Amino acid sequence: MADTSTARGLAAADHDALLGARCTACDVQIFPAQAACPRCGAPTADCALPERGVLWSWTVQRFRPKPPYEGPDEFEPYVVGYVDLGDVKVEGRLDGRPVDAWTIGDSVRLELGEPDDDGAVWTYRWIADDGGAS
Amino acid sequence: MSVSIIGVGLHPFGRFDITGREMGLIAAREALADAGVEWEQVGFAAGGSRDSGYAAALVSELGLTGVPFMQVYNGCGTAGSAVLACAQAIESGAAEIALAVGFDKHARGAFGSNPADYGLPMWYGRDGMMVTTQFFALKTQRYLHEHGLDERLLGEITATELHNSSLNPNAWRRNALSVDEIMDAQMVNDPLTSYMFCSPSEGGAAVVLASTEVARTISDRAVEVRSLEFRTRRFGTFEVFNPWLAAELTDSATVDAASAAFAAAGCRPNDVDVAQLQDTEAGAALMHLAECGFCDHGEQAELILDGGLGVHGRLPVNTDGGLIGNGEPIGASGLRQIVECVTQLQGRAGERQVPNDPEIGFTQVYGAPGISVCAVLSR
Repeated sequence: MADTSTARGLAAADHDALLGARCTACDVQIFPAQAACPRCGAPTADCALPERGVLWSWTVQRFRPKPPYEGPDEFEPYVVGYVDLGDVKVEGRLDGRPVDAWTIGDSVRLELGEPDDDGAVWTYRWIADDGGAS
Repeated sequence: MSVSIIGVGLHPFGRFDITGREMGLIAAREALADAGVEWEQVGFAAGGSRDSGYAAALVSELGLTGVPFMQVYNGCGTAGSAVLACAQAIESGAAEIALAVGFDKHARGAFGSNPADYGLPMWYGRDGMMVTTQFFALKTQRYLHEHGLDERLLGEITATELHNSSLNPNAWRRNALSVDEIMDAQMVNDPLTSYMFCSPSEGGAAVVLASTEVARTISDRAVEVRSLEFRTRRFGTFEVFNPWLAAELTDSATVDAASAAFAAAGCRPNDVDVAQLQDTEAGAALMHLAECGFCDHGEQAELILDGGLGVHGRLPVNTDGGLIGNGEPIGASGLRQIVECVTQLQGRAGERQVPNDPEIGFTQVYGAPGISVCAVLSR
């Protein structure tokens, strides 16, 4: 069964990837990992998600969200999107391009944030992927 | 259903110097007076608010009659759930007359939400993704792309609604705007500009319901609740506050509730003369036109352009200005839709009256996290 302790962060151990889960009964893939399948209730197993995907939708956040948002004091608009990874679409912040320069269908790759003192990663970005080496 | 609406009441929507609770009380008293019944005759009540306290506490000013008063909170579907509870109490024979009431008074600006309340981890909010307007924009952006629709349709819908609210003395937004003014306004979450969103606001609304048999003895203008259907999301829908979406998406709760409502009422979307749809923002209204069955997905332009959704159009929608023109006091919003439909079917809508004696009305609410209540009403 997937370990869903909240302290271990969002990254898969030993992978430069996000930690998702796959249902052991119906094969549905989810993110973040949780112990029970939201479709059928069966136990899930941890899995590392693909590190590259295709932008499925996007928008620009042009005003400062209310707490618990913890951004820099000087608010800068940022882009949020869903990335199609094949068996699941994962929401996330996009980076590496001006905020209004995104198009559905753009290729993106994952970049994990810095780990905290306990080694857990809590942020990630989808970076514009122009086909360079991974 | 063998349930009818015999009275409606509304405290105007907008910003006021009284409490949300007082607005609920005013709306409840107005609905009772409109029905011509006393509070003592009410055998069941239901209501709710998000930010203005317990609806059931209204009894301390309406009268401590011992009436069963069910408190409900169901996000944007709160008022629809209150009406459903009343209708089912009547259908079951538990009561002959029932009151549904909703009210609210929200702080300015988009709602802030706590991830833990939705079973989500804190990082989701800390990194700036726990934002309702973002979800609406992401869903609209994808919908426009998938169906090849022009962003300008969002401006057309907004212009129609603001024209309607400019004619409605109870509405908040009383200034009509051109499509260009709406399209050129400040972008909030692309592709949605500031005027395309409803804002949290204040207001109250109430209806008095009775069994159709009792309604006939009380009122000569009762409006029949032909059907009222409530659904929650199935696996694979696209809802607010979701760090992930399924590989294969499925129809929303609105599709399920609307098709069930038309089936139970024995009529089709084509038969509807006036509709009130959930327009938390213009993209929601655009999608709901198709989800409720008024057109196919991607075929909205034919319905919307050339004033098609206007009071004199092919399908008058959100004739009181909808959420865009009234804002959203969550507890009251779905009841406002029903009040407007009843007002139109009774021919009492003044300058915004739909012509030619409309006979069939439809209402739809949709809210977080994936619930919908749809109703068919008729004279």
